[in-house]
Amino acid sequence: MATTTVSIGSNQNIDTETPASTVASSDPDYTITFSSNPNSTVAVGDIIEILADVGSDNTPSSSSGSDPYTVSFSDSVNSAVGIGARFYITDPSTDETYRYDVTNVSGSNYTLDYISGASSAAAPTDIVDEYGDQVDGRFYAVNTYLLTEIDGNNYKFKYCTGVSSASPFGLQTNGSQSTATFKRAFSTMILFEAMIDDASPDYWGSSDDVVGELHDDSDFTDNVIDFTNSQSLSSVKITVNSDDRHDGTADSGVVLKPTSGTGSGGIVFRIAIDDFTVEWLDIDMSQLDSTDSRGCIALNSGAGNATIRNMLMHDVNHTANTSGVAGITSGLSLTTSTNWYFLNNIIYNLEKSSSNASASAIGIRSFKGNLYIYNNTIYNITSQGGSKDAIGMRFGDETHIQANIKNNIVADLNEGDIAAAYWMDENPNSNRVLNSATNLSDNTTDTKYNAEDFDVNKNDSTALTGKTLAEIDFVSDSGGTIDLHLDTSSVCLEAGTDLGTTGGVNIDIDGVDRDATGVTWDIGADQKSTVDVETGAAFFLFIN
Amino acid sequence: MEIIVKINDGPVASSYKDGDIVQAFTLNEIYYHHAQQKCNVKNFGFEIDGFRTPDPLLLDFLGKTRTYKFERLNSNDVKRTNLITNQEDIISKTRNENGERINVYQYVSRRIKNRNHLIFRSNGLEYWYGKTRNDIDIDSVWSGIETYSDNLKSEHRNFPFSDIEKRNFACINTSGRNYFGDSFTRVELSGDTVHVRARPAVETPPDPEDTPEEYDPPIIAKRRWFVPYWDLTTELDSSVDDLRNRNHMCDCRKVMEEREHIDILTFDKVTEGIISI
Repeated sequence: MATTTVSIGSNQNIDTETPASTVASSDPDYTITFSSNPNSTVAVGDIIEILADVGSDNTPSSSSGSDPYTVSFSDSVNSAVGIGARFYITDPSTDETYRYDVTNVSGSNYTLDYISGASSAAAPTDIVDEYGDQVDGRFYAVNTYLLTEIDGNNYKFKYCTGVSSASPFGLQTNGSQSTATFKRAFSTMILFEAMIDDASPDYWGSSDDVVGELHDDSDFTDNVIDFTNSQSLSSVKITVNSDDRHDGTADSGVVLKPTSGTGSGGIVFRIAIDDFTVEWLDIDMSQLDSTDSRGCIALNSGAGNATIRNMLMHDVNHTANTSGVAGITSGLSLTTSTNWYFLNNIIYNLEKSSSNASASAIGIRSFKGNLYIYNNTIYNITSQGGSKDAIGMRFGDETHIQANIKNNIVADLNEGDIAAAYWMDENPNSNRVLNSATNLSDNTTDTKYNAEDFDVNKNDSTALTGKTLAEIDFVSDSGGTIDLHLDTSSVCLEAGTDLGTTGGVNIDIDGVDRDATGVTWDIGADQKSTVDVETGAAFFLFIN
Repeated sequence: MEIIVKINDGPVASSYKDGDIVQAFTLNEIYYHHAQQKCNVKNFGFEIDGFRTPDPLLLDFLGKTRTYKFERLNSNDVKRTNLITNQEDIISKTRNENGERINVYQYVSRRIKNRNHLIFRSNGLEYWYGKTRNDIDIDSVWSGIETYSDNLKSEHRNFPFSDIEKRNFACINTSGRNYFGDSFTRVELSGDTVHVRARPAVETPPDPEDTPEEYDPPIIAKRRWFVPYWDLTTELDSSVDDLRNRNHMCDCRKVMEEREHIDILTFDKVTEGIISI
């Protein structure tokens, strides 16, 4: 299966460079070099826009208005000529070439904005030969290519849309090699989702694994992202470019901070397609207190295999109605062969502060498949009302489940009724299997729902229970500068279980590969015990 | 207010429909996206000690968009200043009366490993900003950008839709009106007037006080509001053929004086009898 990556971000003018040579000259593997290397913000998944000769002249036939001019032509104009195209026409009496940019097209009328040529603007219809006959001009329209690979100085492209599928190297504008402008492929996650929903995409194959790679150009403010159709795509992943990933604290990487409510059940990021992954995104719900938005991620009807990893989900303070607060939520049962991976996430500050309701970091009671909840850190979950519960994770209310719950931290539950760090709804049996190991619950948890018992008397002797915040020892739990990495005295250090590489669990919240270091695993999303292992970090300083 | 509109029906019943308003933005949101790009951490370098250069543009932006400033005072103590209320307190390795603590050495050591860190240093002591505000004064933010750079707010009034989006969707802006007798002036729209236009159509929810805890109303249509662009070619200055031609980049956004009123361009499928909820 082919994998196609497209970039998502708001930077539509990343860099402009001139193709300098060709390395490979067949679509979809046009490989070229540039006269100078594009800047480091350019990434696989970006597009380039480059002007291409439409191949024939056009004759202006009428013009109205002053600059910009509304011009029609006596002959057929290439259908690729739209906004961004250029029109060049040369005055034979002066040899001056006029350039106009196309700023609008309405039917057969082209709005041409004078850019350069001679000393002042002139209408294209005013440019005539010595006999007074109209001179022909030439359009150059936009070709779009997707950047599919960067290998040293070589940049590989796939043609997407435009005049013709020629190599970017060799395309000319008015006799010179055209320059290429690098841009993000999509500006928002919702518009990427809308293209995933589309039947005939130009930018990926119909059965591809499609990756939407987010860039930290500006915060994403999408209010509800609802992946409901993926046609015949093999899989869809939302990830973050490796240069833009968070460092385990809020606002340090790509942020999704919606500015308005969802208007549809209150969950911001909704997964309703099979084989979906979302990772490395920081979902900040702090601007939605009085809206209907009550949670971060939902797995809805249509969902199948799913992975949610290395995410930050935080600062829900829901007041609008009696809906419960959620980090990850689902009412789906699905099949016994479905796999859900929730790995290395930090979920914190989920609060229901008015209108009585419960709050759950992970609430997936009905799920029947294979559940992997590994190395998550859950902190400060607050319900509202005397009969309402504060819950770290709840699952296992169906006839089947294979629940694997290991190396998690659940701390600081603030409840009206039940404080449940770990809650399995029905007792384990041959169809309801609970595999647990080295989970931690703190002293705010009701005993029967702690890491040892899960409300089913699990009696897991590997559990760490009743720990205080001082014993867990986060780096900072101070408002405005929360850092839930482990500090030097944490009981979580080297207290975990080695979980191999299942679902990518070995990659911690900072990108540290626990499995490759050979060091005993820590509990929670942070692998502090290998913190001195470099993971692409730029600086090493000693500060005190 | 800008909206971006689906062109052509999606392939299945639950897909976006022709004319659906996929997303909507207020002008302030658009200004803030551009402001963030101008003040993106990648635009600013490092001091020789590896801390972020305290560029006045960046500091002004952070001071106006973050709630707190944190200043390290010594090996253990950090002064936290609420930039909205000017309240100050000290946090340290020892928990304060609110139960908060910080190990500032660990905190700073970890942050500066991130190449996009925003840790500054003055007189040998680090400082940083935290918690993005919810009520950002975008005029003040742009005043700073115009003071400390050559960028002009007035040139950043359009959302940076990508070229792929301009080929596959229709980018449109619209306006409200303030009437003075029979005459009116066009005005920007904000708040829910904008955001409601890009929401799904869902079944009518129950009374808010009776909402079930995990209430998730069935979605009737991917979007409730639409723009019948096929009937609005004059208003949009683009033909239906052009808008539906993916090989052809369109942009129907206009200057304020030429924008159509929101009620001329956008319609509620429920009111129009297209769907019922």
